[in-house]
Amino acid sequence: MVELRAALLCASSVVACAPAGDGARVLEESNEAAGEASWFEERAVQRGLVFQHDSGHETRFLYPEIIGGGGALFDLEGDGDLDAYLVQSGSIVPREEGPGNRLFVNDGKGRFTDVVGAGGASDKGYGMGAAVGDFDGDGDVDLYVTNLAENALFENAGGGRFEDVTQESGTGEKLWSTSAAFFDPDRDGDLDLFVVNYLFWSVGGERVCYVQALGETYCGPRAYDHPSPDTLYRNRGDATFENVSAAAGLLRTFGNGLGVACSDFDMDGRPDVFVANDGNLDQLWIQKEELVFEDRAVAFGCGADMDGRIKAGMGVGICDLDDDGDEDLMVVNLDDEPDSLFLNRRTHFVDRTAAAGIKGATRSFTRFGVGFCDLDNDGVVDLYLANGRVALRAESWGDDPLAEPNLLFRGTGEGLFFEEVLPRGGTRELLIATSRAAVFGDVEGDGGLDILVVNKDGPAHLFLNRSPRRGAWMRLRAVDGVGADAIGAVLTVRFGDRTLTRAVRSAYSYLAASDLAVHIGLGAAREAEVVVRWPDGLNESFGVLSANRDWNLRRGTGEPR
Amino acid sequence: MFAVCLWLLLGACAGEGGEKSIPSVDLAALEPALARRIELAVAELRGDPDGAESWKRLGLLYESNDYLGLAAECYREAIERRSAPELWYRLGIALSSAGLREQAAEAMARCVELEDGYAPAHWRLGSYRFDLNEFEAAEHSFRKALEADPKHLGGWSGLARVQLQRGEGEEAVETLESALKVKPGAPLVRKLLRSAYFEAGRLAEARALHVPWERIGSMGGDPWQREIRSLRRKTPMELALERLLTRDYQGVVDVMEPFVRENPRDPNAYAYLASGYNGLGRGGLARQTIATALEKDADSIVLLRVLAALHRGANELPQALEVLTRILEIDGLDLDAWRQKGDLEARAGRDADALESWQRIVRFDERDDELLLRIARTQLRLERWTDAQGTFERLIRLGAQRASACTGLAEALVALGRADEARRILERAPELDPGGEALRRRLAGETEPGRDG
Repeated sequence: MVELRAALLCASSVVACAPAGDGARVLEESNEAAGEASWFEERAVQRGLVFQHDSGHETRFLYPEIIGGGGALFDLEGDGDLDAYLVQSGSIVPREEGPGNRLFVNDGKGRFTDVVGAGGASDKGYGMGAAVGDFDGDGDVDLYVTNLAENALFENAGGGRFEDVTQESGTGEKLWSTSAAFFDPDRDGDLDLFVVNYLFWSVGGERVCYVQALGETYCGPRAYDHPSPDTLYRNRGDATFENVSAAAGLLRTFGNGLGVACSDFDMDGRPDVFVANDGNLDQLWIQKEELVFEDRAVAFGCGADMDGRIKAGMGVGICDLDDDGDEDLMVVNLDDEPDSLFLNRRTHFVDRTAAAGIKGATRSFTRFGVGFCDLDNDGVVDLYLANGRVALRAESWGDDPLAEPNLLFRGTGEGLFFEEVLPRGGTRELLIATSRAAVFGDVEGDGGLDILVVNKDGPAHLFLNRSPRRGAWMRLRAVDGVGADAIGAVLTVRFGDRTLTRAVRSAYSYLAASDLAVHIGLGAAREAEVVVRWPDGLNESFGVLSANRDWNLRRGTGEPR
Repeated sequence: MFAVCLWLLLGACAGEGGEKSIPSVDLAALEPALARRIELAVAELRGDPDGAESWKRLGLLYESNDYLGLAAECYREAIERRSAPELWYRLGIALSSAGLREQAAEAMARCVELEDGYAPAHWRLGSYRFDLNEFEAAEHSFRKALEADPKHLGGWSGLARVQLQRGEGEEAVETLESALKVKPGAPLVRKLLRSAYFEAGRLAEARALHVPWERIGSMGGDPWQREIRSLRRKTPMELALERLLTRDYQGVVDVMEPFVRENPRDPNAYAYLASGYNGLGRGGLARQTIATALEKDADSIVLLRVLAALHRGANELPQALEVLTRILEIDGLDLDAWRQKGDLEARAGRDADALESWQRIVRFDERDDELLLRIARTQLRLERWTDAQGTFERLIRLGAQRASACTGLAEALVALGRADEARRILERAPELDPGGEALRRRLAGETEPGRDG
């Protein structure tokens, strides 16, 4: 294997190069060329977030090794700051209990302390991802962990401790699960749980795949040809769940599921689910009656891309990109496959990937984590992509043959158009890793969204937001009467001539659970009017709120609308 | 910035004293046959360092093995010696594959400057420009492609893509309908037409247009790609699979025998080889091959599946069942194995066992209505009326096998002493099979046709 030729890197005008040794090597990024300062500073270790992901890879290429690497940012103790949970993989063969997942508590200023035993949520399964939500309605955030084998549900017991309630809750899905989402499709006030499953795999069924010049490598999902159904757990309201997948219609369409996002895509008042599948048609589970879903992805034009090409769907980005009140989607894919940016027309989707400037800019990378967030607080969402290959290629970016740089795009606000931010990935030094989950949240509480990236077989990265010329902001936490985050609530935020629609959610990206609070960039505005539509459809106005602070929007304390 | 890099781009190939060094890889890390081919090409180039063809040949070798940076360097060297359109074409493709669309577009633009009549070059240039969001320039290139070859699918589809990105749904529909006149039924055109209908808000037409999900196929003839295609080699496993699918069993054996010797740890290779032997009627050798491989990895489901198939093919049902049971001990979620086991148990008249096996599947998988119906009927046969009722109701909920499901459900209800419910179900059923019709008549107290004397 050789490094991707520096000459090509140079020609990409992204990095400055200097001759070194026998040729040229990447030296550092050129801020002059980029024309602006970097947006992020990587400070995981300095901030105490010391986590080394371990896929367990030794000699055999075992498929789950390339999938894992998830994490969560959530307020464990209800003290207003974001704590971090990082999902470990470990060893498949021999199956040994690894070091387990890790929990890091935030001191409020973005400095983390490792909690011994992850506060009871260590979970020694071969880990994949995480989801968060207050499933028992007691006002604190609980945690669901997806694994290669049995998943785990941890109830937040208070005092920074978790209690494993997997067995009594009935949520220990035994399929290979990836992403998961708490949401309330039956709108009964408690959170149900959608679990995305990947494929039927076992060590005994493992295959060997080859790349022409180099020999063995990881297989792709088509080599196994055993896609999996997803799982829906209905919350009975007593902190236990019932697997309603069959009644919900989920056992009729299978896929190699990786990413998930829940939203009322057809705007009929019932939450729906989008699942990105790896090598199959994506699924759009439209809820046609209470807890009965039908996969309408093909009928809505978002099962494949504009060309009708079925791609390797990984992470899912979701946001109302065109300010029309409904949420749009982006599915990120393998290298040589463009992303799919689908604009929602409520009865169908249209693919605008090329028009958004994303098509050519991302396709040479393998994208996993993804988020549409306003990273510079200018009122226009930006785009972050966490990348890393899944199979060996002849040329690599560095010592880790799967590693790639991440990508940052600035929303220009000129139509729906994104342009790549240089230096590449938004950091002064080009960081190259095999990235998987990208988790979004303001860990420093300074009004800038930070990004936690989990890297396969590498250290986690914590990208602290240092974007220049950052605008005003507000962080809005919509909570119900007991203080539980109102997942599925939709916030309308008006400032200047802008009206933004943003949903309360944690589940998007890839294997990730991001901050449940809604972060709004306000640009030059100093205040904004905020209305919340609660999951049951009632609207409540919270009036005009001032910029640059956190707001708790507790149900019942505003003005009904 | 670009100037510095350009200097490096050229300088990277310069050794001490300005002599051109030949881009190379660590041959020890490569598959031996490829390493030998590269060695030969490099040796040829050393003998003719000023020959554009020698640089091109090495570039092709690198490109065909995914060494895109090295290939691009070689093509640039070749172009320095002879600025031919096909060399710029190759450089453009290599740069594009490496993700450098701007540079690829520059190279392809040079190509079409030198050769205006080659449609694939215009199409590729249009595609690069399209990806770079330069829609006007892309449209120009796609129209040039169609000028050069009015049947070039890339030109038609490219034009439609541009229109779709501009939100011009009706225009895209028109373009694609024209394309279908030139290439009736072309999968890519039909897929894009579907997107165009969506874009134009013609949802009923979009949803009615059934498109194949298979690969989109070629955009049109591209003779300049022949050389690289001939160099691209499939892996032995790919070849073996291809040959298995076409039942070229001797071909499978020819490719797998040496491969297995070189890769004695690969269960797939043994599985393919055994399948090849079996296809040639050499069942004994097939079993021996699997036995040898199982000595190395007794828990390989890949191997055990082939062994089960060999037993099944030889009508050795108990042995096949034994192997399937072993697979399920290793992986209790192997739904294929549960299905095969259930089917064999049913063939052996072991209905209760078959039922248990099939039910392992439908816990996760409701895609096969036939299987659900078999389960329900087996439950009826075993007089498990309540279970049968549940399964038939499940079928009805799924909207599948309605006639049979209504009949079966009614039969179960009658057996459970709930004839009134059964009657209502049969009366309300949108359709009934003959058994259902007979039962309906019986429950209604009607005389069956032909039996009224």
